[in-house]
Amino acid sequence: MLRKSVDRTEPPEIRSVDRLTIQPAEKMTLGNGMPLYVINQGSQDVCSIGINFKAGKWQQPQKLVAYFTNRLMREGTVNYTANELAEKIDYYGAIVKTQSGTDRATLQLITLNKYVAELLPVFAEIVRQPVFPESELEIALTNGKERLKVNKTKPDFIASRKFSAALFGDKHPYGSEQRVEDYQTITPNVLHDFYAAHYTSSNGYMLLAGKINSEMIQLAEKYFGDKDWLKPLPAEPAWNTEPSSSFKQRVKMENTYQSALRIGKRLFNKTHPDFQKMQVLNTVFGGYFGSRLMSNIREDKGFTYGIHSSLSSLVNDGYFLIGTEVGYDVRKKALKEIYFEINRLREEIIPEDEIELVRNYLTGKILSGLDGAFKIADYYDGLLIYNLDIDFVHRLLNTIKTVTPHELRELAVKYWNPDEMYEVVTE
Amino acid sequence: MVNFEKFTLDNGLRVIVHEDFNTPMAAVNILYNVGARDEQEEKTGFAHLFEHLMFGGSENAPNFDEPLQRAGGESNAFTNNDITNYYDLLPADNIETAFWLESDRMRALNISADSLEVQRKVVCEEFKENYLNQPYGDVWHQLSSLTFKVHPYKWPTIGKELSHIENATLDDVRSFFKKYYTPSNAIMVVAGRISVAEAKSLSEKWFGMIPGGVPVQKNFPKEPRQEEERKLEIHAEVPVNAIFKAWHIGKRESRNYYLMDIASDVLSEGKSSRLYENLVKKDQLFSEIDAFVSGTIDEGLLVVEGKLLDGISMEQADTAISAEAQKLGAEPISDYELQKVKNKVEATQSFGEVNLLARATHLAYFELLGDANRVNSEIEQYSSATTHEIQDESAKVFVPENCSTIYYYAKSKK
Repeated sequence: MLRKSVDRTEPPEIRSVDRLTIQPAEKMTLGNGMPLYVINQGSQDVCSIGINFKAGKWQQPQKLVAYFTNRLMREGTVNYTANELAEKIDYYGAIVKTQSGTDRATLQLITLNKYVAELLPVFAEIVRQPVFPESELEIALTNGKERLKVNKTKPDFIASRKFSAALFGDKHPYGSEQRVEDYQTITPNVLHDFYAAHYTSSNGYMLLAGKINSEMIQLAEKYFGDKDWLKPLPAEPAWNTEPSSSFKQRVKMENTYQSALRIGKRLFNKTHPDFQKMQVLNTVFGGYFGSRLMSNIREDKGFTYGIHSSLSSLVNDGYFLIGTEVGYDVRKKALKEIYFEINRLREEIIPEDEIELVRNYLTGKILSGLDGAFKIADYYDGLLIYNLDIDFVHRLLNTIKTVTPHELRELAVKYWNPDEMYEVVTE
Repeated sequence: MVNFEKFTLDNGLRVIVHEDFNTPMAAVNILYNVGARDEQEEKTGFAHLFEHLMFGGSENAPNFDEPLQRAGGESNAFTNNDITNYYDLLPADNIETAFWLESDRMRALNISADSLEVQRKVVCEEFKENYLNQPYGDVWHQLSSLTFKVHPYKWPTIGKELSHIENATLDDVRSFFKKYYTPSNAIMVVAGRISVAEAKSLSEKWFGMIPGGVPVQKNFPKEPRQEEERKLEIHAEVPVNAIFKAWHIGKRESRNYYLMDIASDVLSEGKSSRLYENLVKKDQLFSEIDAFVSGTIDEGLLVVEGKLLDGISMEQADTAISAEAQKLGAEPISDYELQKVKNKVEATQSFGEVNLLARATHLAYFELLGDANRVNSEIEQYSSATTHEIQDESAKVFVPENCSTIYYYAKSKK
């Protein structure tokens, strides 16, 4: 057979993604008023049952309380010891994840559908009847302190925590650094009080994702829908930020093959009208492999294995951050190039060709980021705490399509003034 | 169950197509049958350095990533001891862009002094970031050279030392490309929202004309059986004492591998595992402990690593781990424990199959091992295991003369 040779100089035509059909979550309400979101999608017989509370660092009365409350919930309940709980979960090959962040705490059960009926009562025990045993807490505290010791020798860890502390202040929940002394203040009573006030049906929501059937929804109602844990909402604390007055911080480290750099400033969260446009600007700057930071500092100069920038959204705040580890000898040159790239976006218009690429890239990224029930569930978690719904994605797609290079330059001028940036360098 | 169809182009390129019309995405995954074990001892780290160079553009696509990102896609790659694997994930409408880019770099990669110069530096920074500037970062180097004396697994994928990467030459790059980056040495998986027919015609169109090359014969020196216990002490600026123990196990295809994979799960999979319950919770010797198998194609390792709590001696820690390991050979695990591991394997497989790229990568890897369908049948290796079989193999593996141990001391302690 004679094959026609292909013209390789002509790249295949690129089609832009015009339609994105996202099946919105179905919202229901449990008998006690707790919202239940259901994302029923997928061909594998697996599901994720998540429960999410406003019980993060922001809500905690003292350091580490939110983390250890969440962490200890699986270490003993009214009817099961820590070992019994672990046995039950592991036996069915399931995963129970506990996660505690700046603004919320989550517990999640991921399992084969055929074991939901066995595991949901166990999961409900963990969520609703933890007892915070002293012996388990001691082990968790000891091991936590050891991990902190290890982390404190890592330049990237040190630079990140100095950066947050500089932006928000050491007393603020978004900026606080943990110290070994803080572990001494954690007792079962402290955790129990925090738990009782924050892990209530009025202070959270549930999210089911995967191949969900009506039986699972009935089980969710059975184990989580009663009014026994319906309690008044806890008071929302207020915190004052105390930003550092020193914008340029140098931290001495023992090991100096590389310097960790963190540069950035406070901004705002995803409810701000400029946030979505800033996402486009940030992508151009340092948000993907072809970004200006990567092209210049990795692909042209070879100073680093990776450099990224991001917009972090927190419920009550937000910040812009550039992070990298660079060769020790070139750290000053790398800093210079980072500011050079910031200024270029403040002075010059992004060329049409580049902005077009970023529009397509971001659209594809959203498409793959919403591919499958588990990913959609993660996306929802990132919206619900801001009282946003899936319309956010449709607006984002539209912003990506329509924001102009001129607008982006104005935003860079407005929000990315190098004089306002904090800079942490380990050396 | 992962469905697929398989065909081979005239030039020897094996193609596997996995249709999934539930996703809006499509992926091209190409596995090249070359890894760090194919390197020469004085030029280690090269397979991984080469992976970086594969993103340096090709004859008709001077920039690899740019057109891919323009098509709304993303790409990445990894190298290990055995293979180098590349993948592209795009909105399905634009999948042809990946065929164009992957075929062009397979036939005519741009090999330039500039690109080599920059990527050498990038890889050196990667080396520093992950292996020098991290506490215990060098331990995989140490463990590899302690456990392997002959087989090329004695150096890690990143390379034995920075100088090997710094000394790589353009000639090295050219001959490596010519030898290994050929259709007959590659396996391609096309997965996602694309029909078999379309995948077939695109494969023919873009890859069909590339000269096949010569399939590489693999002939690695076999690691001789370890005859006596090996020990190494390291004193470094790390925060806490740590211990690493490794035992030689069978190759990926052997029954021994699966049984030892189960053994490692019994030891440390989940909070109800033996090491966690006994040594972290009950005896409180470690702040963390883990056991895993290296999963290499040739004979590999089962490794246990732990961080010691204050006041615990290395000898105490060592004895405790050895006792748990030897117990696996002395008495059978319970039926309950075995069922637990089998359930875990089944669940892990189902969770993993949710991800399109994971399915694509696994299909390619199992095809390399001999049959892509093992992505579905592999589970039988686990479900058929018996407690006695595990005990018998454990009794052979967990003996002192098959073991290498590193005591990694924090300098200020002892």
